Amino acid sequence: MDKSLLQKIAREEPLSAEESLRLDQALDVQEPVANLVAHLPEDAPSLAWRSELNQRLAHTKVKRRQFSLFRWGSGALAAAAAVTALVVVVSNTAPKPAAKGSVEEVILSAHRDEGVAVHVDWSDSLDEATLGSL
Amino acid sequence: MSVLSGVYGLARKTPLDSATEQALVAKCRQNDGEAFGRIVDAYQNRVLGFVLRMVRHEEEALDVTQEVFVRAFQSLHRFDGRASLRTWLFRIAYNLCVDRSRKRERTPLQTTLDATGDGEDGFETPDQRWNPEVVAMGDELVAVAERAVETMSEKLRVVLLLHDKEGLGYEEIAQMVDIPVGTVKSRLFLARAHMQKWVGAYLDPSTEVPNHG
Repeated sequence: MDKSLLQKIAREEPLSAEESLRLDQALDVQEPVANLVAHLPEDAPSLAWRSELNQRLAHTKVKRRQFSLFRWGSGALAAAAAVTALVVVVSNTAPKPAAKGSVEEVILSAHRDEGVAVHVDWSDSLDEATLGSL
Repeated sequence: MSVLSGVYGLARKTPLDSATEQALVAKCRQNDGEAFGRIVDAYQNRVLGFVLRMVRHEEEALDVTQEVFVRAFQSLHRFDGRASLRTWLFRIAYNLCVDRSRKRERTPLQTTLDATGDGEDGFETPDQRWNPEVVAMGDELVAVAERAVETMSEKLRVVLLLHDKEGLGYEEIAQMVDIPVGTVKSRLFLARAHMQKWVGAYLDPSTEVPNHG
């Protein structure tokens, strides 16, 4: 392999199609190294390690269930609190009927009467205007 | 005393086939601890081997390997089966090794082209002496090869181990390490050249012995 390609590989620069092909060929040539690495020994953990892992896994399972219960419990509690707060707010801000004889009741009654009077006037004027145009 | 016991390559446990894997994952999702135990049985040696060579500290490697299986157990419901279980486990292992490495603020040994050899010694064609069956993987050769793996940079080591030791494909490694496939090949080439330099010096004592690590 020529030096310029080696430099490009070492710098991790993008390779041309032809250079990539040469790299693939070089990797094929290195196959015995791959074989050597594949045959490197493996380490087996001890039974004590495995027992410790089993304990951790068992604990993880319990923890997950506890967390789940806590999550559902706290969720329900939060929802109940939200509903209570909403009920309190709504009940405090809902309009109440005006007391009999109060200023509010007089104003409302005057407003209602005026509305009816305007409605009657409009009907009359409309009829007159219509008649006039005829 | 070491808590590890050596298991040579030929005695390695075969990975689970796809159908068995799927069946075990389905059982695990129904809280079948025994099924998860079978997954641990199948992969604990391989995961430990990978982690041990990555973190280079026995106690830490044992701890990280346990963490790999605990994390896998916790997030098995998120395993979508697009990759193999083995690839998924190695991804968890790789991420944990990277996290540990960052926490410890280790400065990995950087292998440059110069570090793999002044001339082209590392780029020669390996001959029959490289065949592990011919060499019979004596303890000395194992020690030299392990030393070669240990002295290369983390970025070369991870590619070498995942490809040559664990048999993952270029695409899988590229996705895991988040680099282009071409870079995976470049790093694999450099990693193997580094191995060649070290092991070549052992097999042929007249060759220059690498002067690092």
